[in-house]
Amino acid sequence: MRPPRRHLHEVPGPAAAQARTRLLVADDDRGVRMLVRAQLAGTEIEVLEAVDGHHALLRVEHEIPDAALLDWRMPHGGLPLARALIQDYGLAGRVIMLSSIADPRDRLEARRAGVVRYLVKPPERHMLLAAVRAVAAHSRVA
Amino acid sequence: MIVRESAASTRLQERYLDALETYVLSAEESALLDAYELGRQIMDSAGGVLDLSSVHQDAMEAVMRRTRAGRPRELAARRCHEFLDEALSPFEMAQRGFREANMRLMTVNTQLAHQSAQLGAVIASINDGLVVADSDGAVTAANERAAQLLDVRQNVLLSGDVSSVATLLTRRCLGGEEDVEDLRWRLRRRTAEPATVELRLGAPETDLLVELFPVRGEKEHGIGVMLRDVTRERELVRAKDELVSIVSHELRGPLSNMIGFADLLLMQHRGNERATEGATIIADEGRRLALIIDDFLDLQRIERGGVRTDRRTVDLPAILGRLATVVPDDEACPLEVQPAGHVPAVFADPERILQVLLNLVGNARKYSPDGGEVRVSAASSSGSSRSAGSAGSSGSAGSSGSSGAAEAVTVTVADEGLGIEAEAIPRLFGEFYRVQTPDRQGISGTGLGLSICRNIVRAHQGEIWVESDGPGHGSRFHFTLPVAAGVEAS
Repeated sequence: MRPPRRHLHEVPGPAAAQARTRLLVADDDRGVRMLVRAQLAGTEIEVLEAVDGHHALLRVEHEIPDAALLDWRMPHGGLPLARALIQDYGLAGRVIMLSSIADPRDRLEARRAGVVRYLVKPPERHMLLAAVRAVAAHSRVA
Repeated sequence: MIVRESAASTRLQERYLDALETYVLSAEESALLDAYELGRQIMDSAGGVLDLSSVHQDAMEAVMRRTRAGRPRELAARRCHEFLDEALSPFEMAQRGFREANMRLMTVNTQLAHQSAQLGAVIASINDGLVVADSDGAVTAANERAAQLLDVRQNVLLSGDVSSVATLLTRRCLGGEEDVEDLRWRLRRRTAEPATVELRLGAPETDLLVELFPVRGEKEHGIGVMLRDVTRERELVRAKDELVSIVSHELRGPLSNMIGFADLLLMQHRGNERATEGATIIADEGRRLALIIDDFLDLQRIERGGVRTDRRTVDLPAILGRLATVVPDDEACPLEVQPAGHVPAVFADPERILQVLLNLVGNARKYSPDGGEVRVSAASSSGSSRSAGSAGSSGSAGSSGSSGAAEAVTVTVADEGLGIEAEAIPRLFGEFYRVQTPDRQGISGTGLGLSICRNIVRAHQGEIWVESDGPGHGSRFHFTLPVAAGVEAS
């Protein structure tokens, strides 16, 4: 019944031929930022790092990314940051949340706030790639 | 009692006793009449303080004392009694009876007053607030502590109706209005069943446990309200929860990074078994630790505010289909998901149900060290499916939410593993409980998984239970989910 496990080389490629996708990764844990960067190395996704919510907003002020991956628990982060990016910086449909805990309440709150994907740490590479590519495709359509 | 100070009185008494003695010794009628008359005079001279019966009685005792040895005392005693019987009229007998009854009543009254004072002292001294009302709701007792906790004067509390407790609580309550209204309803109706409500009050912030209990009298039933300040206890629980939460989150973060980088190493060195052996162990052990932390956090959330679910109408086959894709392959314990196309849609949180299924399938594999198939099936059933399911000789135990009679779907996870001893079955869904048998020694776990499953199923108004034919015969875990509204079970 179970479909064969997908390997990295089988992860679907970018929809638009090698268009660069700028992903803002906001997490106060350096390890997570490094992990995401390492997982996305060699793909069309360019990682922009932010160490907390304030830093994320400063970066967005300077350059609007194609997608954002936000830590659920970090200083000045979480849902208020997601709402600000969606409402004030036009990132509707392009925010992904990254949380240590798979809490259904958090997931529901995130969905209500306009977050389109909710991933649990550590993100599996193919899940992360698929999520970023899906929201980046949304940004291109929009 | 008949001895009086005056000489006249003493003379009268002497004459009376002589007459009485004469009668007792001779049985002369005239002596008897003299004795009656003299006795009456003594009583009159005492100004009504003495009554006739006591005058005669005391006299008889004196005569008996004066009866010398050698005289026939038995005869004297008999005549004394005859005299008394004659002398004491029924009215006097009744008077004596009343007096004795009065004496007893006074004694009982003294005892009651003593007991009442003792009870009052106990009520006043206890550290909890206590308000007691009669069958009409009028407050009959309230201690100072209750007045203090309700922020009202004790005499005001004592002069009011018991439902005023709810009104007083409303003034200080921070939220929980529904609970206070429920309390008011119960107090007004003076319902017989005990009830407990916990409220958070402001100014000063207090966690208050309000317990209602029936006060059962011989004829009338009242109601009692116990008010207990549990602020300190709740502060400790909150501090513990916060500590567990912080520690768990702090552990979970670095662990995620360890797992993530171990996976990255595995990916980068795919095909090189020697290089990936260590990374595999790091990743696997990291995931095991992460699961334990997740269980702790889950249980903590449940204890804090119950299981929050995002329930909607969902197709069970879709959830079972997801289960089949997320459960890793295991040749020794293959997963067999039986088709469930015929079952009606259920009203459930798909993520939570998947969590229950993953837990049960994980357990089925964990406790099948020699391998064996793990079968997951679903079937529509009536609300009474539980009793039908657990019929037979097998042991079964479980836990139910509200036992609605509505149609339900029963999901079953069956394995061919170690099975469960009958003695362990009743405790299986308890927190931190693990079956301790030699064949389970090498199998790790926290004993939280089934407790979490129980809480999730209860939050769906379902039941969860287990059947096992004993050690070596596998186990069957069942749980029910309500059919979605407007959906007919086929």
